[in-house]
Amino acid sequence: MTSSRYPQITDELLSAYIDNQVTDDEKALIEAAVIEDPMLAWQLESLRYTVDLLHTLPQLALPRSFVLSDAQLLDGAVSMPALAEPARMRAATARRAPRSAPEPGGFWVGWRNFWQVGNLFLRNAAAASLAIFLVVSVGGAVLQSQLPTSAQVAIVSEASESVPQPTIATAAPTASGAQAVALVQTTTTQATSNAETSREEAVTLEKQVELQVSAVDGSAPPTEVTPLSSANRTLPADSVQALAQAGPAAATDLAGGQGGSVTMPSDAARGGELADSPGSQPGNQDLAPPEPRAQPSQAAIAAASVGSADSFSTARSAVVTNLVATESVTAADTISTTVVISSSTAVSLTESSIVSAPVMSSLASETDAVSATLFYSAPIAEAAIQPTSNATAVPTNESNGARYQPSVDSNVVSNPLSLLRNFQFASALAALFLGVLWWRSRSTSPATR
Amino acid sequence: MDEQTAISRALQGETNAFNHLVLTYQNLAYSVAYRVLQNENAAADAVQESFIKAYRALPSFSGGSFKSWLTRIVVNTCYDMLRVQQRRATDSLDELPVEHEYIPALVDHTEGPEAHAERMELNGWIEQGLRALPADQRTVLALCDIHGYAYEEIAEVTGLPMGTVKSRISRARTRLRDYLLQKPELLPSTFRPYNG
Repeated sequence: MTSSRYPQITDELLSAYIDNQVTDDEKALIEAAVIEDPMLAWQLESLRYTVDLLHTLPQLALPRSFVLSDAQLLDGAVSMPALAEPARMRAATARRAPRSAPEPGGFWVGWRNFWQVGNLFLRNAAAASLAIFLVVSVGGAVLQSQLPTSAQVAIVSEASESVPQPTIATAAPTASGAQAVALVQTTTTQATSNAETSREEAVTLEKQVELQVSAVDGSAPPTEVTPLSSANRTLPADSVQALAQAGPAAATDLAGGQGGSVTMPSDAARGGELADSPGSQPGNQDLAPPEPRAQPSQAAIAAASVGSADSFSTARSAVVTNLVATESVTAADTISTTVVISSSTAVSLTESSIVSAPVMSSLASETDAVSATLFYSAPIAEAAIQPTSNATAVPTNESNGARYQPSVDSNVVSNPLSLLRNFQFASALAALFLGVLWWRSRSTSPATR
Repeated sequence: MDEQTAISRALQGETNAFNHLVLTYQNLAYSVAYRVLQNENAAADAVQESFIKAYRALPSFSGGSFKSWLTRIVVNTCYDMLRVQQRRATDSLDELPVEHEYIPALVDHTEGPEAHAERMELNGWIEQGLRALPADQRTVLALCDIHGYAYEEIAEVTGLPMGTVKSRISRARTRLRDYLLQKPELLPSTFRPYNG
């Protein structure tokens, strides 16, 4: 704004005049103009009053002391805080500051903050993992509770070297020698035998077992069975003897601890013929292609010789089904124990043939029995009661490892080991995300959220 | 301990000597930083950073006015922060304009309640007027009219020619006056616009 009568007097000159930054001539000019021109006088007065107002502004209070510490001077990196991000600056300051006492508000405030911290993805992931955890755990428990107690179990394990399963099998040749019976007898241990049976324990038990099974033809003498010395794994000697001396059609009570009776009809026990036998169910051939390991000429029934140095040095697996045991397992020469299950022999059981928990657990306890899998099959339990018509042949296992093959009649209801793995996985996942959330809640102040 | 002695000891590595200078100038530094940045947190950070810079750059101090040298560091630091702010161009809830009934930092307890209320209202209005000014004008105006720097000092601090300093101060005062006139009821009658 300039004065019309004194165009040379500008606001800049008036401002300089206020600060005594003008020459004497300029000062005289301005003083004369102010007297003559009220407008110019008002301009000068208003500017002066504005300056006075600024002079009278009170001094700002310091928010804090800016005295420098040795740490700041030595290693304090000069930061460039951004005005646009004061919240981030304060968050960084809060993180650098030592953690003080817990915030007031109690448990529920802390719990709410715990779940509100972090980004949305982490919270959703944690919730999802918890949901999986609950579904798997509850669902698994429900499924297991619905399983029949005498469910049929089929177990095939990976090859477990030199560790015979605590299973006793006898091969009872038939009178004609062309027939053989592979009698599968799981250990008479309790069904709740622990799954933590160690390898050492298995070897120890193995040494206690002497079971001699001869793979012979018809002229071979009956198999001699030495009962287990272990109290809870002892196969009753009388039962074994009775079994060994029984004829093909005889039913031998292997009651032991299971109360199951075994019927060994000659036609059903005919090695290598079961899969093709008319009595077998049609579907059996699909699921259980006949691949007999033992040739019929070799007694048609695989029988392992116990204590034979020429026998297999590796115990493959113990395969127990409701109807058929497969895989021939022998013991090492140093151990006169073996588990012999004829690979081509079918044994029909008139009652439920239960491969009880000991077998399962012993397999599960083996580190190399990674593929051990259990199949519970309620229908099998019923089918097992049927006579030999339901005899099922289980395929011979591969030499490099056992495989499991569900029976035709079996319906896979559940897999406890898989459930257990899922349970563990869900637990680990939930723990992981909860840990991340907890870490975030600890490292972030609520004031900065 | 005078200023030169403190500077000499600080140059020898005595932190306490430099902190003596900090205690002497921290109010001035914070006030300048606040006037430039118009943000308390940012001003505090700028001042802290400026003192650290000054301590490290102290060997390059060639004498003269330590006050002007330190103020220049503060102003340059504030300008750097303003440039960062403009580059990011993000809004923050803390940066939203707030209608201040009064500014606690500017409270003067020597006045009566009514005069205090009027004064606080006027001071708030002045602060808003300063905030409405461009940063360069606000800086020179604060240095000149609030902190009493001479034109030569302002030119030294800002690195501007004397003529530029004069013109900026004049424009800043004129704009602030015009801003204050938007609420003439807060001003004395002599301050009212000339109608003659």
